[in-house]
Amino acid sequence: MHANGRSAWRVSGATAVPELGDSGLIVVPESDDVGGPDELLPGWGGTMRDGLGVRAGRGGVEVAITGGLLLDPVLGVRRASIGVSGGRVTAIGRAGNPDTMDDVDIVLDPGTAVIDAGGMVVTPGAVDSHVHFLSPQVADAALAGGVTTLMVQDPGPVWNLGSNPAGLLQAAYAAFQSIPLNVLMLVRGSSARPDLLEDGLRAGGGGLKIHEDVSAGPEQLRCALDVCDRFDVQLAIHTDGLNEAIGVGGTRAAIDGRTVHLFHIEGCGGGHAPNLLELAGDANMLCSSTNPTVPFGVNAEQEHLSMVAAVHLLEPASRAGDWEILRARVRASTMAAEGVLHDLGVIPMTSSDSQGMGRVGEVLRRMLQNASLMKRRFGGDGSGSDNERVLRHVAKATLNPAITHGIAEHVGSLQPGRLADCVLWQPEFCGVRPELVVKAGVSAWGAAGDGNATTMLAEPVRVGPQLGARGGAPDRISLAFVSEAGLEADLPTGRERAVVRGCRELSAADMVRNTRRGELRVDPKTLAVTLDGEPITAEPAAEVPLSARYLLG
Amino acid sequence: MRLLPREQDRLELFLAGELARRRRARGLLLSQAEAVALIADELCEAARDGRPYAEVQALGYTLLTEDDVLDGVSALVPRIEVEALFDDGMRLLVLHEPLVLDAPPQPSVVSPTWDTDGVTELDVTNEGEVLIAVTSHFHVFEASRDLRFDRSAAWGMRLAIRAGEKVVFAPEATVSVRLRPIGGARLVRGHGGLCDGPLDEQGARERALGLARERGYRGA
Repeated sequence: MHANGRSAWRVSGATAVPELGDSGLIVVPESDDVGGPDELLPGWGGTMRDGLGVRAGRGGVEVAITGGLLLDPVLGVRRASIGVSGGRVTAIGRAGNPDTMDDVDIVLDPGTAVIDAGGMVVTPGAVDSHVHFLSPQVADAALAGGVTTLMVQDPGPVWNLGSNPAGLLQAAYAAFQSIPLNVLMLVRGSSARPDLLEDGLRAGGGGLKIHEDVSAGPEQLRCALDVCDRFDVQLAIHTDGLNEAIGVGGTRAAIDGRTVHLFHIEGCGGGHAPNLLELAGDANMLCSSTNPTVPFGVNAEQEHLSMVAAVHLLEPASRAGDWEILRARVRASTMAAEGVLHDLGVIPMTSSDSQGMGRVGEVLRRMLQNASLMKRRFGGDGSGSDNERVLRHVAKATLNPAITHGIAEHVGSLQPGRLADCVLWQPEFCGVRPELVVKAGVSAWGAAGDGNATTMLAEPVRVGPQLGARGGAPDRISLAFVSEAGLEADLPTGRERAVVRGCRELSAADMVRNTRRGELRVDPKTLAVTLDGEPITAEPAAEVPLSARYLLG
Repeated sequence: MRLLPREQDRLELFLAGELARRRRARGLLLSQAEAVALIADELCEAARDGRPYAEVQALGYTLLTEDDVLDGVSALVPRIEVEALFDDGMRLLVLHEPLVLDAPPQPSVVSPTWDTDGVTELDVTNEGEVLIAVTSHFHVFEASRDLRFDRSAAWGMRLAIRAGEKVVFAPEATVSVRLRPIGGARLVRGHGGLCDGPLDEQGARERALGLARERGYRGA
């Protein structure tokens, strides 16, 4: 159900300090381009009128998202409005009428459409780089979790671990005509021969994915990396959890210093047991978590014994070897370390692993939960706010996966030039229920009530499709991320195509607010995790914030 | 049944409300979603029982208190809106802080927040027959012709009140107001149509005063 009404801190303006839900996380604006005598207010007798706060004449932006508190990995924590034209951010700052108001950065004119974000927290739309799109319902859940960009494998149901062949990729693009999400298709990279991988990228793929369930040996790694180097796309890897052909050392040698995106680096989601996590210390390994292991909870270990077997088609009670590999893969000690490594900035990204061991609608929520639990454990940083910790965790779900996959000039942040993909949250519900998901400046998903009612938000209010999710709108407000070789691919889409680029020279130093490196060790006998010799661990959480107070369950 | 979308919504609300009632019956404290669902559903049923609007609205403040919900949840329900079918048709109900308040909040007359840096003070009298409300960013010089005040002194000025506030001039009443200069490039377009250009251009004020006198603006 909806939390109707505006939060109290709007009334008291910049002096009030919003807490994000019940997380205990406090964000303090570093600047205020909203409050003061010229505050823009919609409504009867408000200031958002012709000749008053709206310039009487041309010169305004097409869309203004006004009055929110921005939480952006690059822009920081700011009370500011967002100017949008052509679907992209043109300016961040004070909105209004420069004819009658001082210091206006974003001009409103009578043609400007206003999305009122007063009292709201505004984040960039989340970028989920690990999505098994095994049913189209994933898209609804993603949008309802504030995700606006998906990197898709397995448009299905299908057993594939990629978005190939061309016919399936085309069918997926046809389906996405009605889904207001930017999409980057990851093509299966598990091949020791380059032909099919290249075909996939020419057909419209935006990157490659290696998965052990279809082979993650040294030949596949080398071959896929050669193709990635030639096409300037990223390789996402689920390493060999059986250690059948190679272990951590073999994978490190096969990658040979080249840039890769390592999925579910803790290892429970898959990959070298028990010590995949050691690779998170390497500069060329851009690592992400998947979300059921973060934050680490008291029921996580038992849940994963069930989940791994269900997703990976194991029969631990009846088939030889299944119990041993399952037991080796699910480890409390590496799960306990993972959340701490996020807080330290060693693991720079998160993702869902939707329907393949993860929850697409909880990408951002679980980062805020982790930030909250880490604050509870380690305390604040003494600055009087949790801005740094919150932004570090937000960056993992937004900008860093965009950088890793070569699409950060379009998404992941609200800096000028980027697509105006953002999520408005009431601060009390930040990470739990979005108020509005904006795609390219158009309302695409969000709180919507009884359609017959006299007001917009009469119960039952659901988080569901808005205008941008209907008819032909999704293709107009969403991008298709393709390799340069796929720019002219035969795709059934009306979307603008954006070229993936800049993937091959990246290192851990390029990860925003998450650049800590060090020597990570997982003791093969005790499974204890150390970073530069120091033990890394945490007690499992008995309860988490941003959860029971809000949800029906 | 040929249920309309609105009726399907009603069923969903009932389901959520019923889930909340059962959980409450087991002694559980309610979450935000459960609390909203329970209250909204009960209001719809009270209307169905034929009870009048004010009674149903008042009921909404008595259903749950802070003691019935999880710690912190009462602050998460600042407002509930729901439409219910009364005997005279669909009606919108709006509750404010129903977990905190025990009766609907009463509206009251609130004074504007005057900026003490206001550079000009003026007495304004409403000589018309109807209420006139002037907002924070309106060029006061061009406010209704029924208001009598020193228009020349109000040239280029707006009310020195908070954005979004209004000063209400009742018929025959005189109100003392503070004014502050309009900012930015000081270009007033629209408003009452008397300036429609740069405020500080030579002769602009005199031209506008002439136009105001011609059009019967009091105090011009």
